[in-house]
Amino acid sequence: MDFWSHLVLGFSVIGQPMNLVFCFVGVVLGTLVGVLPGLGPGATISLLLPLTYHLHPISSIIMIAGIYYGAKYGGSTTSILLNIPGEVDSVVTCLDGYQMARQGRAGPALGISAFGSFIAGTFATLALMLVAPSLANFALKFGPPEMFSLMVLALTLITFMSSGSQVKGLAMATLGLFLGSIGLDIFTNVDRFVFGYNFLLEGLGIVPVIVGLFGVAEVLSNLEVQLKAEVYQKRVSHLLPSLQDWKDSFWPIIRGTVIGFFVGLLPGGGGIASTFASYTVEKRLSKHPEKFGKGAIEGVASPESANNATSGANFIPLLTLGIPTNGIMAIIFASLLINGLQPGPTLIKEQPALFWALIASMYMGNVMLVILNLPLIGVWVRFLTIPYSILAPLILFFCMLGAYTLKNAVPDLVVMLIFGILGFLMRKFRYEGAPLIMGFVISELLEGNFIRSLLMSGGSFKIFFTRPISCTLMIAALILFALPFFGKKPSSLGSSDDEG
Amino acid sequence: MRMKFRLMHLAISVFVLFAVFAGSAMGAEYPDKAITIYCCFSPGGTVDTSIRALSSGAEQVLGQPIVIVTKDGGTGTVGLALLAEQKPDGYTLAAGTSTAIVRVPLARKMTYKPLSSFTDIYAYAAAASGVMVRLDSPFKTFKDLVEYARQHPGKVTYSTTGAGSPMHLIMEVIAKKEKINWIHVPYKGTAPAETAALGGQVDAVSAGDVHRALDGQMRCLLMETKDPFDRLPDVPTSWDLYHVYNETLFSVFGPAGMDPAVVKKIEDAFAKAQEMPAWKKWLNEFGVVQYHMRSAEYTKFLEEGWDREVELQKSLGLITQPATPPR
Repeated sequence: MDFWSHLVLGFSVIGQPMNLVFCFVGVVLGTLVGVLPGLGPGATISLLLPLTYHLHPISSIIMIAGIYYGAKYGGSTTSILLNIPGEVDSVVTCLDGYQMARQGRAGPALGISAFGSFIAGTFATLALMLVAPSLANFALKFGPPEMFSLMVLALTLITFMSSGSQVKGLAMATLGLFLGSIGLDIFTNVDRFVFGYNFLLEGLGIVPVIVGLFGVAEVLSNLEVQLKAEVYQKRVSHLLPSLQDWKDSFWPIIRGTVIGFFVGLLPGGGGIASTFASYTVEKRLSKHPEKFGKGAIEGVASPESANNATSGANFIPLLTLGIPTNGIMAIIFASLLINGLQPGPTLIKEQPALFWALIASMYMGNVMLVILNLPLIGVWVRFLTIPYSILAPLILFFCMLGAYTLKNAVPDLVVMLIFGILGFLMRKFRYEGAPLIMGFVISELLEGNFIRSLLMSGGSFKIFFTRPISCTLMIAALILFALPFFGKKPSSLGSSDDEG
Repeated sequence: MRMKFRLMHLAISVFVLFAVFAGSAMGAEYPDKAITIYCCFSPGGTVDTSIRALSSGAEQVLGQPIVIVTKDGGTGTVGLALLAEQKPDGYTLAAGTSTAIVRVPLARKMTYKPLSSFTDIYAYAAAASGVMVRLDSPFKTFKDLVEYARQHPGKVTYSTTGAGSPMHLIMEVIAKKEKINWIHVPYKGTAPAETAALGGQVDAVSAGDVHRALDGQMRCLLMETKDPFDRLPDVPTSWDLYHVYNETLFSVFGPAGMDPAVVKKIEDAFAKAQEMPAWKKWLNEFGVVQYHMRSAEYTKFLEEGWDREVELQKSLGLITQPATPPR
């Protein structure tokens, strides 16, 4: 009974016109920065941070949360339409989303990503409401050995990422691992591959790398070919997913949601990890893995659901333990502190109005987002008719804006340009960007947690197998790795899964 | 008629010229436009939120808006390197920590000279870092932890936000003085380091702030401060036990060669801002020690701090010579 009265309390707070307005402003802003490549919720929230001094704490947290999960809705738009991720989390969506758009199926791709986001967002909110405290400790159980084993598991999945040559995919993942090691090593306080450029001490920023590798490179390679807008326009028959699309996407959305939710609970678990994981899982489970990378709707539905589930789950460690699991959560953490609220085990008990208003606002926000995004699909699809000579400079402009505003640093622009040229060459020689990004993202987690584990164990490798969660993950990785050697070749693995 | 016009013209010119000169020559006119402060650390952190809380008060005193621009990276050295290249007119300042002056340049070559590229304007707070354990930890006092480490060499682990951080060095100085050996497990950031201790992955965390002890989530065994922390008065300090403490000060810097009158105005504005509610509220939430260290005193503090830090790092075998010349 307590539960219902709390929920009523939450909805009565969010029902106040001012709070509804802030929720709306948050999700609209989020959608906007999500759509624009490079510009992300992190930069937006930090820009708005000073404003929170003057707002009611509940209003500001509602708005900030809205920006965060709203960006996940918008992020897929440019991935699908232009092959440029609007958000870090939407890198994977490019793989199949863009191919769908080229086949005239931009509408269903945008539609399924909006619906998938809605389902996952609502599920994550429901879970946040029902099981938040009991799941909180899950984050604490995940120590360095568990994280390392999880990363090993992720590495074995990398080969499933690429649709072309697996060797090239692995090469790109290795390059990504290397690029992730640039910067100051926190274990020895020694810099690696910095060559006297102090801006590299912090490592390469993921946003400039992605914006360069995908955005700038896409524009550059399109300059080579005469793009005709009709190519996309030709077969835009319907804007919403068909019944068959729904059938194909149902389980991917569910699985994406579950994967995204659990990844979101982990320290360092950002949306990007969950999208990669859910994509590779779908491809692995699919009866027709050869369709992935060529416009499979599952390849859009699953990761787009995953990143929304992650953004909801991110709030659980923050609100229940006071643990921010990623950079944006850290900013939200600070904004709560600024407003005199201490996130931690006592927050839900001491500030029920805040917690339940946030929950209620997330329900409302998700509804607003799906209402906001569905009519926009028609607008976005028409967007493709803009001549590329106008679109290209605009894309470049927003790419540069996004790369620069992150830290207001000029070197980030240089990094973006270098990766733009690299990405251009990679396209020419048929190397894919997604495995590189995956390697880049897990690099620090892999190495850091390996060293930490061995520090904890005094150098003994047994630590990875004596802890139950870590051991399970290691065995799973081993099985996945060994599977191709028994029986079938990796390329034919999925297509003969019918019997299983 | 024409003559009269010319005279008037001349008069106006002279007046304008005079006004321009007067404006630029007299510090009394400062500030007549918006002031930019580079924040040398990322949004949402201690430095960022503190300078924002202070600036809202300082704006009222100075009568001009203050614009905070994030220039983070390199433990606060990126922003200072940019500041060193700006005009010392008082319109471009930076908020950062003393670490970027006396610690980071020892290990790496900087583009600036730590003790001569800046006007050290005002230090407004000091870090209240400390050693914490989780509530069900068997260690009730810092002595327990040290004794256990003595009996079980290499078994006690502690997390920090990275090698070479003040929180790491203090633990190593203590280990050296106690002749014990404990294992440092670095993390990327304070939050993951605390999470590791909360989850029992490590025995203790040497954390940049002790808010988790203030809200009852963890137990603080040692404050790494000079004076006892007024909100945890019973916890011993590292200064009392080992004659070492975390000297990190949060402060405002300007480029070298600023007009003393302008410096005084800025000092006054920030000192007044420390009496305002926005600052009081921040101070209460973030658990740091309030400071009122003005320019002359702060400059002296940093000069002495440089020598102390060189000594300390040489004794721990971390450096043989400072990588950056101080002047």
